[in-house]
Amino acid sequence: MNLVVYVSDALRTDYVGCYGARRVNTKTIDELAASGARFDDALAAAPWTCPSTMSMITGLYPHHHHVLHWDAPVDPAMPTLFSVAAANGYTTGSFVFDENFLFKGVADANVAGTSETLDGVVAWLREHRDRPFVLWFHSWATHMPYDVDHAERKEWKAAKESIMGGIQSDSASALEALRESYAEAVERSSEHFLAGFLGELDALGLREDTALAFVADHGESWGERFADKQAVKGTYHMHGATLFEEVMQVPLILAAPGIEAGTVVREQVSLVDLTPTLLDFAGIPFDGTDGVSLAGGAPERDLWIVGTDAGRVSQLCVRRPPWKLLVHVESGEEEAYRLDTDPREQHSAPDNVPAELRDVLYEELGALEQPEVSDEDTAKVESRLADLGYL
Amino acid sequence: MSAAKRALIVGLDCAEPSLVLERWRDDLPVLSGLMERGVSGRLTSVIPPITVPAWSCMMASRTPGDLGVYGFRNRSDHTYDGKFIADSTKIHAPRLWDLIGREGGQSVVLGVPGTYPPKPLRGAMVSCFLTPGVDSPYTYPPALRDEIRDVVGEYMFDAHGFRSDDKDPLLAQIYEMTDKRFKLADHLAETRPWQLFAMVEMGTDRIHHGFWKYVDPEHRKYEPGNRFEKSIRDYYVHLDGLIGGLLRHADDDTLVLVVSDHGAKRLDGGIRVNEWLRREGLLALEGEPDGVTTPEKLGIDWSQTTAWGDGGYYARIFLNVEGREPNGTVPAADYERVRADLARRLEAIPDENGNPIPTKAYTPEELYEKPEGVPPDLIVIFGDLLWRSVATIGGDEGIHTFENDTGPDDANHAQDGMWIAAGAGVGARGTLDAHLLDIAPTVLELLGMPVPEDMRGRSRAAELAA
Repeated sequence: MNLVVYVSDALRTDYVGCYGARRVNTKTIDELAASGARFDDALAAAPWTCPSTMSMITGLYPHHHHVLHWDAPVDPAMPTLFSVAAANGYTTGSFVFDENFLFKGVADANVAGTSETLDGVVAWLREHRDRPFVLWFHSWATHMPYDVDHAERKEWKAAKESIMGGIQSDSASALEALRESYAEAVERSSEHFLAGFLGELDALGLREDTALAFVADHGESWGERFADKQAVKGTYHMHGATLFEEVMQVPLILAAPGIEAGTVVREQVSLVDLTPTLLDFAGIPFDGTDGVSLAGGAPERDLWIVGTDAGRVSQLCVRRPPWKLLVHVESGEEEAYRLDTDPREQHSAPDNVPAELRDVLYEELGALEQPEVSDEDTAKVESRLADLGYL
Repeated sequence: MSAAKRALIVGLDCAEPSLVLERWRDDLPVLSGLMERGVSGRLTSVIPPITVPAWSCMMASRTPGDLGVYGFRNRSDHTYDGKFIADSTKIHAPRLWDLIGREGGQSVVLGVPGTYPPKPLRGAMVSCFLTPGVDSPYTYPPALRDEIRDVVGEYMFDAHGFRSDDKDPLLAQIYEMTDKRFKLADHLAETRPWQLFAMVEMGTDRIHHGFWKYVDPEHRKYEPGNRFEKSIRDYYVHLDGLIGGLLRHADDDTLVLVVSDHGAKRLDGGIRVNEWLRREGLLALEGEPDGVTTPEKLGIDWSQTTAWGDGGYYARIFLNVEGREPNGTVPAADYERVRADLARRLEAIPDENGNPIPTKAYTPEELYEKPEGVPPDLIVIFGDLLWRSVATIGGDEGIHTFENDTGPDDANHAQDGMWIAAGAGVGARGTLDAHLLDIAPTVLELLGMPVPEDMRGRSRAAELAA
């Protein structure tokens, strides 16, 4: 059984047809969902790529895998999707948006190229079609600025600045234009990239022997949560600074032999479940992590969401529908939202939270081990984030 | 309708009822005012009556046996060197702020022993005197640390060298520490929402240990007319004023408690338990001590040892039991007999002149319903706490010592602390004695909150009622 993960960076659920979008053509994504299982309440473990992706490949929440910035050391003893599969005889490979970021320090990830076109991954598939493989394809087609390669640094920065300028201007038309270009990017991601990718899998006759996950590493926002739009200075403020649903909820679609077509899972699940689930399809045990295999359905449990800032945990959130309770680690300030009566998270009501849920949160907070981040590291963290437009 | 909406608890470590409630009552206008408006009395402590675990016992209404904490240092297992310091991570029972948090209430917790390292709570916490220093993470939330620096400069957890002979710097330190703590208390009470405000001042304990011999004519080292004769009284008067300042945050809906974890009394001397065990042939060493040392330093011949002890305000005696300790010598079948015999002999140790002293050797089972962790086999209170336990061996002294193994120490703990209750839910009811374990259920009931069934004390709210 081959294992394939297709990540569409910063893809919001409400821009995907099978999740309810009306004006965006995501036919390929929708068909994929119809052929397998759609998870209606899937949550990223962190609001930005680095810690979220590490949670996806380790099954550990960010405050347990401790990889909270691009240069954070990755514990070599920490099993990942790649290392466990490789140890079980799998060929492993990955295509990423920029080889200087993912998957640095991750053994067996075998970054084989970038995801800006499908050329590399198609060649890789053709080369490795005969042996069981793990393939990770992380596409930036849905990450702002849209339709500009990250490698074209000058152009890319200019496009990013123009988007930030639009948000800061707080003009409805600028925001509408931004959303429109995002919708176009989503269509392109679905109908060009994903369609081409799946087409190649089909052409090689690999689909029937592949467990495939289509997922986003986090959602996206356009500064709605900031009263002062001038404070929206970079991508970090679009996804990274807050843990609201538009940033945490992600599409998650699983298609694999044995999954009944049209399955819909309504219970909340976390992307820490991704690796345990995929390895389960391959018959490889992967225990002792925060995640569980979703192959047999989604168990009822609390989920965790972790915000980071400058390489440290800045917010810790426990989600137990209908409640979502978070604490800002430094200030102790709490936010709590009832997702059933206040799905847009407009009215924070920490006084109404069940006390037992707060106990659960504070227990986890009390056990929190913050990584050491020196001043030198902090400078490095910032420059790396600036490079990605986060700051 | 609850009787009180908020509770303000001012803990004074070691505050002695005979001083506050009687001898200096008229010198303490704020505290005597509270006594007149409310109730006051003795507050019997747990056994052992020591800061750790007593404050945690009070805040959780659980015995030392329930907590599995019998002092600062505890055995973690039955090996000879497995020990732990009882910090906050070892206190598993919910304390007042945990329980109030569960009801949605917020707390400010300042310097309550048993709170380092600080744990997250709904509210704010500044950890206790066991905090290594201001560079340690000592607050919840973490950002509070910077705020404290802005308010008081370098915060002080404890006065250092309180067993030193050089008394002037010690006195200055105690005042500085207390002033900073109350300044911070005032700031937190003002700026934070709270349903519970609980603080503990350590200065009272430190000044007793450091200055008791100057003020108690019955102390064997007392010198009439010495220049520290009024040191403790003056400190209490100073404290009274500081408490008065803090009370501006107590409105008509606030219950006010002033409590201590134990009292203080003069110290007549120390019983050197290990020296005694050695002379009785119950503790065998790997060599002859050359001067004063400890059994650990010299090495214990476990194969010939029946029992060993620990020092402190009381003695912890451990038996070396076959099948329990690594090199046990006391057959399990003989355990009760050996222990009962040892208890009788310990209780019979006289003072240095051969006069009997009222020593009590308890078994953990008779003190606690279900002792958790590794309790001592005997808990020995020498001479009604006029004597303390000293762990050293060797040297020129015999069983009795009049210099503490860690420097001069003028006072020991007394079994009874004190309490004053006033404000919301409390009438002018005069004197009412209580137990330390009664505090938490009383506070909860007055706040209209459920009292957990496993609390050991009982609510005194009905007796306080206005």
